[in-house]
Amino acid sequence: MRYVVAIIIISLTFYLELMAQQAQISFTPKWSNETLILGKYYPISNSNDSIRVDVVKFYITNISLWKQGNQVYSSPVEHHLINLETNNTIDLKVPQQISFDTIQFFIGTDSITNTLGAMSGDLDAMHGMYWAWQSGYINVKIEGASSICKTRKNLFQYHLGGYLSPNQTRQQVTFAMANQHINIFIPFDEILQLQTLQNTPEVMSPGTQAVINIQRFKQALKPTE
Amino acid sequence: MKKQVLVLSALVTIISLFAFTAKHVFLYPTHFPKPVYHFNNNTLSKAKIELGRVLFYDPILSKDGSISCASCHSSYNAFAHTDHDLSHGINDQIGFRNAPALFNLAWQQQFMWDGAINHLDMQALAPIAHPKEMGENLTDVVTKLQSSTLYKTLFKNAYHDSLVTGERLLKAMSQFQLTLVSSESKYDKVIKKQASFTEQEQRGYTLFKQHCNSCHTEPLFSNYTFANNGLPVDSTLNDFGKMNITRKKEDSLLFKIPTLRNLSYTFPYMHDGRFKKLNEVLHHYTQGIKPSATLAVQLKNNINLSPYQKTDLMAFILTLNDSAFVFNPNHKYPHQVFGATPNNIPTNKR
Ligand code: HEC
Ligand code: HEC
Repeated sequence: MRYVVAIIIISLTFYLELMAQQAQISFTPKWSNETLILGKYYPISNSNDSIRVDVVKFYITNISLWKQGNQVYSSPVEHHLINLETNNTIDLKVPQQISFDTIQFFIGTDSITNTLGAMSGDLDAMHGMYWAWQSGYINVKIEGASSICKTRKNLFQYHLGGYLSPNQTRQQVTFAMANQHINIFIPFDEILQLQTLQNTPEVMSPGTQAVINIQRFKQALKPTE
Repeated sequence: MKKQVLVLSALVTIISLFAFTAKHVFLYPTHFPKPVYHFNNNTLSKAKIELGRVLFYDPILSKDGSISCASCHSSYNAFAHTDHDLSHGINDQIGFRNAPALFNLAWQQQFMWDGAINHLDMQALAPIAHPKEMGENLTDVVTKLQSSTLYKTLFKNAYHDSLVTGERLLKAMSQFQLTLVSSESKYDKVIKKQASFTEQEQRGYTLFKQHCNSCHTEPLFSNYTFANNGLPVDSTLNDFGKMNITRKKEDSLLFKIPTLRNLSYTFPYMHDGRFKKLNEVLHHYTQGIKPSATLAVQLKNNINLSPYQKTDLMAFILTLNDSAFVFNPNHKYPHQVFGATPNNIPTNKR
């Protein structure tokens, strides 16, 4: 009898798996027209300088799918850490019968999550995305080097976060998405502008600079299907 | 016979299961308010508290293995720091602030003199971090602990498997610190009607309620909010307290109100340790208040205390010392794990 129940349960889960469709969000870093490779140098246009991006990590949270202005699906996993070195894709299990035309998500963690203490999984502070001297998640982390930066070893570091008003950094993003897959370009030549690298090569705490830089990051994102 | 062996081994298994998960009940006296720490998200157990205690005393948490939490928070000083030499190159921040005493943390929502930390669990990250590189080093600590036989065992005892994660480490450290409850002072005994104040202490208690209790609120002797108590700014430090974090003008010079329990053990006083003696503190409140835009209303006028009244107030403050807490063996350096002295930790064990 127990076996029968077990078999029924197993086949049911299997059936539900089959019934689900895979929806996928992926992120591709770009420098001008090229796909950016971490650690590789690129020339900066209109200057003799070059740039290298070493680390790109950010939180994508509360993903939902919409059809004609109505939410039809929201991801049960609330927080995804994207680390371009190891993982640039989020898979969603969306029930088969659901169709959608729009995807919505946030860049960064919500303010409540920032106050809950030690968390597990992608939110574990061991991923280096939680500040030490001031509580809160780093929502976007971009690090690298450029001869433009007048810093030690020419390094730039953007640790963008902050959950308290008026310097909240969480950004809402909405893109059209009709197919199973959306690939989002991150054009670093637009995000890491000459002036920024020169004037503020290091943003390491919440504040207006963090807000300005994370907004630029958001605005640069380009969806492709 | 076989059956008996079976029953016996089943019993042993059950008991050892219990031993592993043995819950620790968080005890506090009835005259204390409800704690604010959410124990539901971090259920206390003996094994986790013990893990947290070992971590608290282990210099493995620092980059170069030279200092532990206890280097700055000594059990003999109610987990404050009486030595001013902070040369050990942790974050610059540490150099200009006085290490506060650690106890009754379960009743506190914001930590650090400026409230920079919003949860006890995340507190340990601050000292663990390398200068300037914020929040990065927990990763290294987790890796170090993963290759340690001692910690494999301790994590297994605490969490049933030996996996080391940031979350587990931070929560275990919270657990140990949460058990640091100071509630056995003479004041507590008087409240529980197990002792009584002398006449002088009683007069001091009245003065205290009149002048100090609005901020240093009994029974914890702080309401754990932030205030400007009129200290002149030290121009070599230019520390503006809570404003550093919130960037709001109205938070300028607001510092976390410290508890007045165990003051005999926790000198020097104030966020920058500017006063070595309680006399100097009372002198500040009676003669030294510096007016400024954010000065607390209660302190707009200097507090008037005659020399006799000062002595009375001091007598009361001394009833807040809790030697049972300061000498509690459960809070001390875990010799049974590390061996004789802190410098004696055999490296091959870790
Ligand atoms: C080099 C000295 C030093 C070391 C090592 C150190 N601390 Fe501290 N601790 C301080 C100072 C200084 C402060 C106050 C900092 C501030 O307000 O900016 C503090 C504050 C705290 C607080 C906040 C208390 C309150 O009332 O707000 C806690 C909790 C704490 N430390 C726990 C720890 C733990 C756990 C460790 C080990 C992982 C540790 N400390 C290691 C110096 C130290
Ligand atoms: C308006 C609120 C307020 C009142 C009233 C007040 N204090 Fe304070 N007290 C504070 C704050 C805030 C601090 C920490 C200031 C700092 O370090 O910058 C403090 C610090 C102290 C300290 C240092 C404790 C330590 O561990 O460093 C002592 C002792 C103290 N107060 C005693 C008293 C006494 C005694 C009275 C009554 C005569 C009193 N306070 C009234 C707000 C207050």
